[in-house]
Amino acid sequence: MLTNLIVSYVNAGSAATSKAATSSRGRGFVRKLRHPLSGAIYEEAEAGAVKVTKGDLSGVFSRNGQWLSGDLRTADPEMCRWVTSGANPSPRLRSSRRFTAMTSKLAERS
Amino acid sequence: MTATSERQTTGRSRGISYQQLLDTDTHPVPQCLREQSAPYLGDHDVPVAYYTERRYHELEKQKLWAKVWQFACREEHIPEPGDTYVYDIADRSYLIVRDRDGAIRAYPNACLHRGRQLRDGAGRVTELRCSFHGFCWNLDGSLRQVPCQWDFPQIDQDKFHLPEVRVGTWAGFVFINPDPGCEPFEEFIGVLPAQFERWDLANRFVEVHVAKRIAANWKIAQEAFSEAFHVVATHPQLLPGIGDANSQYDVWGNVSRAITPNGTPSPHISWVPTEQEMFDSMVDRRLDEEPVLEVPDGMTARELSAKASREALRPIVGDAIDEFCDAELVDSLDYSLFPNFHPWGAFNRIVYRFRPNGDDHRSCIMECLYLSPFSGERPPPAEVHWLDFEEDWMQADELGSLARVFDQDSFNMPKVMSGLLSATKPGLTLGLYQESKLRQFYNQLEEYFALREETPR
Repeated sequence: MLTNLIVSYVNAGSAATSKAATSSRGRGFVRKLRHPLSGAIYEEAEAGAVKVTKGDLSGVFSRNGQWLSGDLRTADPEMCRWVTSGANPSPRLRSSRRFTAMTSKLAERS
Repeated sequence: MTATSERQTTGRSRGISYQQLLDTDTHPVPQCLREQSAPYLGDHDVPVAYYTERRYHELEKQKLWAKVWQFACREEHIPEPGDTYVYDIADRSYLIVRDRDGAIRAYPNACLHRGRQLRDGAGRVTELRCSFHGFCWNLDGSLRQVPCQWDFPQIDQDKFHLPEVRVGTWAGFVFINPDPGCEPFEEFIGVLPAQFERWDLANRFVEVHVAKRIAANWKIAQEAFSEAFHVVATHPQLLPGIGDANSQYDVWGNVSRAITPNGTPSPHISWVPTEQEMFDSMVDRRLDEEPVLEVPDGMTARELSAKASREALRPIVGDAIDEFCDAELVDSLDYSLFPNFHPWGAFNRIVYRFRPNGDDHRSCIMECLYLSPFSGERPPPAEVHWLDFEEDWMQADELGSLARVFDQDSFNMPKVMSGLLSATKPGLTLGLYQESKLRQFYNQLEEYFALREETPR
């Protein structure tokens, strides 16, 4: 069962029918991550900016981590770049070189 | 070696060691991953001038690039007789040619008449004809035709052979060495064939080839990929699922290795992630989305990740994929061959190369190739996708999620260059273990700078 689920993800793309395949990816998806060290929440805001919330404080920062507004004045620039680095390709596993032997482009060609 | 340095050299991060992690593998672990070689390599600072001063770039041209074995192209770039490939390094250009008998030859890319480059790029030809006046050579370098030969009575046909550059091949990679007195290629690459015995890179094809110009010395870019020490600051999002500080580093002559385990938590984080949280981190699950896959009870993130990788590779590799252990399918196996060639082991698919951007010591070219397994007829190698200084890695969507990781790495590189130009501290202080690949590189480089000038020619 697990193998089937994995195969559906790595090979069948959107044909996967598991609970995971019907996740919240897509429209309205907010790119939100918790910083593993500080615990602050990083989420993509409008115009490529990043809203960072830590405890009761929050601030808005540029993609390179420069402060734009808010009570929180510092943020991790690399984390800001990560959450603004474009949408996660879907299906997720196919975007990783580890979980696919060939890109979809080549698979289509073959 | 002092007692202090002995203590420092054997120092390791807290957390599970890589060898301890291998003990938990669900499959037999190959001997190559069990080997360890971490000699004391010194603790002196590396001069900042190596990155910033033009004279060291000139020294590299004279004593490194002119004398070292270096990756030029893949054999698949020149599969048929008459196929040519142009390899440029610093201010030099070399022509790689597949001869009629199948042998690979290399020549300085220069006409023996007035010096024009013989070839401007890759392509299939029947002869090597200069497009300036038409002097022409056979694929084997012998002189074929001199236009207006009556005007060149001084040319002895037998002595007007294109000068050959030495060629070596390994695993489908073509290397050249401009120094006719260089050490044998097989000696130079040392343990590399033995380390890669299980991973048949010859039977892979170049599925992706991206080259980007970066405003930093080539060594700055290379060193950004030579240790996992930077993950804690440059890629913090990875920390729940990567044993960055528990990486294993090994050095054997011209070869070095960094193995970074995945599906195990970083010792830098103060909380203990669940197996699901480790897996989620590996696949970049966001807080507002469902799991990509749920880690079943009793299974680890490493096991699930390895299983997913096996199933992805099975249609291409077949059931032989079951002979590979979890570590080979999950961990980052980053090998390096001095001075600038970085093939990754197992099915990581990555090959890096770093070199100066032409004759500019303050900018460089970073290349990433994906070597993928295939079934049936070998697909043609990918064309190079060039990205200029201001172009983002993410414009190369063929790199998948790795482009976003590169974006984080590249954020640092020009700033390191700027910082070094402003630095008053004359040297870089390296960690004794985690930065041992850098140390090995500079030990080798300094040997070339100081000793290789006496190489007989």
